[in-house]
Amino acid sequence: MRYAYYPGCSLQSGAKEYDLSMRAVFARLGIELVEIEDWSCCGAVHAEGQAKINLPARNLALAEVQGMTTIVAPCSGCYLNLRRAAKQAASGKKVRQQINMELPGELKITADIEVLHPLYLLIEEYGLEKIRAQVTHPLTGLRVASYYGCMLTRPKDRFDSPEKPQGLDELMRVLGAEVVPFPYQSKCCGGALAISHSDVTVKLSGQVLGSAKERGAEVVTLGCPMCHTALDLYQHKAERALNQTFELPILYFTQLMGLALGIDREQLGLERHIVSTAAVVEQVVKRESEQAKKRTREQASEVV
Amino acid sequence: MDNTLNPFLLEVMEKPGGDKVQQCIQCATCSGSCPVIEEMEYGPRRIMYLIQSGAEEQVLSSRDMWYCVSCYSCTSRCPREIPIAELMASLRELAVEKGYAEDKESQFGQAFTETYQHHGRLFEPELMLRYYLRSWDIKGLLGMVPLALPMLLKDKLPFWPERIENPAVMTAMRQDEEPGEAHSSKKRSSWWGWLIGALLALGGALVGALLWLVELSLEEEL
Repeated sequence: MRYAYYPGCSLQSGAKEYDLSMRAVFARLGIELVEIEDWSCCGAVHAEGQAKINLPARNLALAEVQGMTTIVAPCSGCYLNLRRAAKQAASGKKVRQQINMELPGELKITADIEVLHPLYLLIEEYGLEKIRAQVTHPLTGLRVASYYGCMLTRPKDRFDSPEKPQGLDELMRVLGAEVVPFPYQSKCCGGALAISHSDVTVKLSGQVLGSAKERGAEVVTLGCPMCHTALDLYQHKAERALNQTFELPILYFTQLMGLALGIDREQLGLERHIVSTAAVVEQVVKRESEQAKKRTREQASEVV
Repeated sequence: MDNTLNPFLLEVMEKPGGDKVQQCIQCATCSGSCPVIEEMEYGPRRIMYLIQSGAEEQVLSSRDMWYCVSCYSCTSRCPREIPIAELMASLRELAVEKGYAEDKESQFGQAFTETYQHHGRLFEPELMLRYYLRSWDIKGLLGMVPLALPMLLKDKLPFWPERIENPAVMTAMRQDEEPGEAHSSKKRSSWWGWLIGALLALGGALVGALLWLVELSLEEEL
């Protein structure tokens, strides 16, 4: 399996741990990621007019130059923008011509291109059973709240329900974790206003964190760098504003996969979080040694 | 229905997400689903109604579209399938175009666009600098200070920008310009010049003030 990889701006700076763990996990699963050469910003939610389509479209055309037909975009925002542009380019010959006219230089989109979020790529194209077979360090007993945020499942697409999404929960169960359902799983974290109206971000992310904590989650997992900023970096602000303690580590789903697949922890960027991930790692290590002991005991009893 | 159309409604209908505004039946599913409804003046349902009634000034000078977090809850639930989140983005554009935009988020959007146009990719420290210089959001800046140190310690703020080969293509693809004109425009950002100018002016004023003080004290001695 071979895919074009569009990391997006966040995965190069604040969310480097998402990039690191994603590359490590995909390499372990035997999925090749080819980074799009000279990729550029998708415009996030700030592109205006036709640039909304043209900025992501440049990256689609670049992927085509490299002979790729499917792009993996791990940031939910980039994923939505790239997918929207790809759909638009595929909607008709005339629309595609219009887009091509505005692309710089010789760049052109000539064929349909698919844009996938890594979570749904793993579920639909790779298969959860194949992942289950490779889990060496199951996250047994780890109480995980799966947080979908907004743009991963909205606007409605063919992958999951926008109201009650299941994909991330299913993946977590495959890794052996105990999924904690919580009502804020696909409510907004307010990440979009983190700079200009941070009080709103604090309020909304506080609701998400509070709800997960109340349901007994030990860790929140997600697949969006914006949500990660709101829930991890702003967690202390939310704690102060609500006068509550959360201490909820926020891990990318690729990091939890990395732990479950037994990938060297150094490769997963676990030390780059604001809220310490040590408790999660410790629990996985503890379970690992318990299981190792159990195995030796079993072997010993077999020998006897 | 034709005779009820008004210029503002027609203008909005031309924009992305605007073509279905007239389909709104005021069921308020959008406002009921909105996570930031408490921050808004009207909320999406009343915004739809105001657009239908042509209340340009009320709509574009409201803060509602600046508080929209683009969560698409309204869009995915609207029984008339109106892409409300897209419409909010179009209202932001219109508000900037027509000079109504005053919210800090509009400054952030501008700063964001300038930054990715400068390098082809985002560079957070420059984005912050541009935003705070534009908005003078001192309260926000003070709130960010305690976050900056942990971010630096955890290597979450890059020191150098990642650049694409030719960042000028970002400006060329900017928006609905004539293609020829757009591709020839290689407008460099005037921002650095502006900052240096401001620093020079400040320095000049300080030197001037010092000279004036020295002169005063010399006069006193004489």
